[in-house]
Amino acid sequence: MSRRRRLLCETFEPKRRRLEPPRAGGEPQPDGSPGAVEAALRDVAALFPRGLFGDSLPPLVLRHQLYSLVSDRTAVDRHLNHLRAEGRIRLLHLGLGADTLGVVSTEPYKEKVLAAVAGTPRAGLVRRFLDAAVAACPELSYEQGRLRALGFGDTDVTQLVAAGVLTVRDAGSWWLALPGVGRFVRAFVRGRRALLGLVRRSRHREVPLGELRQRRAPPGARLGVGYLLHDLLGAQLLRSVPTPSGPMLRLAET
Amino acid sequence: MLGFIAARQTGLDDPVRLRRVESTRRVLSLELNKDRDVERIHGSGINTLDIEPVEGRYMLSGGSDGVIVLYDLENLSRNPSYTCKALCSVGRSHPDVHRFSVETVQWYPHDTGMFTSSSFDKTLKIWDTNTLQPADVFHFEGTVYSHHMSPVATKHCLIAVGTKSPKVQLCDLKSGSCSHILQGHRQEVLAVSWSPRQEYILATASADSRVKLWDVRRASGCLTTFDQHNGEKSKASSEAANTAHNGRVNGLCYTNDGLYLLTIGTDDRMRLWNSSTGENTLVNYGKVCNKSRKGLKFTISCGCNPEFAFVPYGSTIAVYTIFTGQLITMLRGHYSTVDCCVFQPNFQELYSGGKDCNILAWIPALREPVPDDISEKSLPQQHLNPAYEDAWSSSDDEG
Repeated sequence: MSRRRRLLCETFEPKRRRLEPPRAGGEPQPDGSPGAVEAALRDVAALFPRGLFGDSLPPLVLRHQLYSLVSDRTAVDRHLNHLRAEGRIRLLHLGLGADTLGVVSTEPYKEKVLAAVAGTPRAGLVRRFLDAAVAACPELSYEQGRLRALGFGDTDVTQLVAAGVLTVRDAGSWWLALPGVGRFVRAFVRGRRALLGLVRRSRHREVPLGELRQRRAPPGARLGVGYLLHDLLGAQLLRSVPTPSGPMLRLAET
Repeated sequence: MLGFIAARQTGLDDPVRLRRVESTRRVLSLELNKDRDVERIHGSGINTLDIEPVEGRYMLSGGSDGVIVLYDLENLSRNPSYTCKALCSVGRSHPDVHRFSVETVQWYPHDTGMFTSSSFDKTLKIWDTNTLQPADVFHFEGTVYSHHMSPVATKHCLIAVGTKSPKVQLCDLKSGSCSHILQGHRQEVLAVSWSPRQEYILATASADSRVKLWDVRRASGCLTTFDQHNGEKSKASSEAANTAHNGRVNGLCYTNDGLYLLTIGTDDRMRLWNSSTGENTLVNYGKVCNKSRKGLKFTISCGCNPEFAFVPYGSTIAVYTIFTGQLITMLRGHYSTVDCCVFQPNFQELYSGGKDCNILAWIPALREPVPDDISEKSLPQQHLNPAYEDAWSSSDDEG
């Protein structure tokens, strides 16, 4: 009996060994459970510097930032899609490349959009749009026919684009957007470039994570090193290599 | 292993279970084997490989200098080290050789007497394997990127051809002429593939970042255009904006049961689609590096329990599980970009060709022999590949 079990194990042993990738870093990575995804979402949202933009933006998380915390990317995508279909979060195109999606909770999103247009003549239209369209259909983009069915004509769409709630995707198709997101995008692109440059200039193009956290942040990284590191690791621009003295960050192409 | 055999004998297990477990184990232990070589004939990069589905014994390769070579993969020599012999080839001196790079070769799915090849010289040739003469030649207006013949068709004999023009053409082997044109793409068509489940369903991938499903019996247009965001269905207006990728889509592969479709694009993403509903299953494979300007030939394993996809990734081949998107391993061995790979389902072997002119054979590693003292003494390097033999001699002996 014991011999049989040993042989059985032997059949499975290489499979089990190869299927599990080596765990990166010291702490155990959370699995792909919905709870882990939501915890990661909260963690990254807590890193978002709200004061930097005069509290005009809701806590904005990029989808790939979650991949640095949850190793199972498929679980992240599926759970975010589930949350989007339930209407708890919105996915936004930020103009950072077609594959970069921003994740924002629905309630803070509505609040900040209304705050941004408060006092302007478009406020009524934007409120109507948020109540009728955004609440009703959780898609990323809106088609012309769909908007017309919801009671928004061409002039209304022009006003909404001017207010920054919609951006043009294609002829007769618009992405949902966040007003005033340009300041975030500028800070984000600069921060990303600053942090990547720091790693690229260092010896062997690698930096220990602990050293990077202790060091004074480079001047461009106003969004915070932690927030930007999640982005670079999730977008696979940096790789985290486990070493005896903590994780080492290395440029992905080397 | 013995446990599985016993369970199968006593009827506790399904008969396919042992086979599935063992083939999964073998696929997971694929490695570059020092006993298996493929004869080097090509003088330039290898664009395409195909193994015939009847016996799994003969392999075709197409090179970027227009040469087509036929290999015998089976080792009948009873010797563990084996070089796959080139049985015959359509070389540069052949009168009917393709003038430019061969992009796709495919065996006739039901018989080894015939194969097809398409090339950048704007032709698709139907070859007779025994005489190595073209039986028929189709001419097109643009360079041909890809063609495919349905593996399950019994009612038609159509070859789908993706060329530089945005129209997909269907060539009928019975009449020897182009019978249909499928319109809908806006740029060149880089990959075409028939469904292995329904004989009239065709999937095409194009440089306009769209993947379309067609029913070739339907004249009015495509069935669906895949949408990466799973947007609104059944809207003619929204179809126009649907994209499957954010770059050129240059690879297409159905799973063996035909229920899912894998696509790969130059946005460094691979996506898995439900082929009946056209829904994005949201499996995220991470970054799948893809710099190819032409079509990319990747493949899917057959008969394993989590099925695996073998995808050229720069100069390596990445192995992913299809339904979870996990990267299992990278197969390193080529010196330059890998362009194609093909899976041999009977022995779970993988063959890959690249720009370094080599075809590499990835063979499952044998189990380690149980170490006991008899075997160690009696088998001193009985079958060692001559390349690994020690050719060094000490100067004292010669002295």
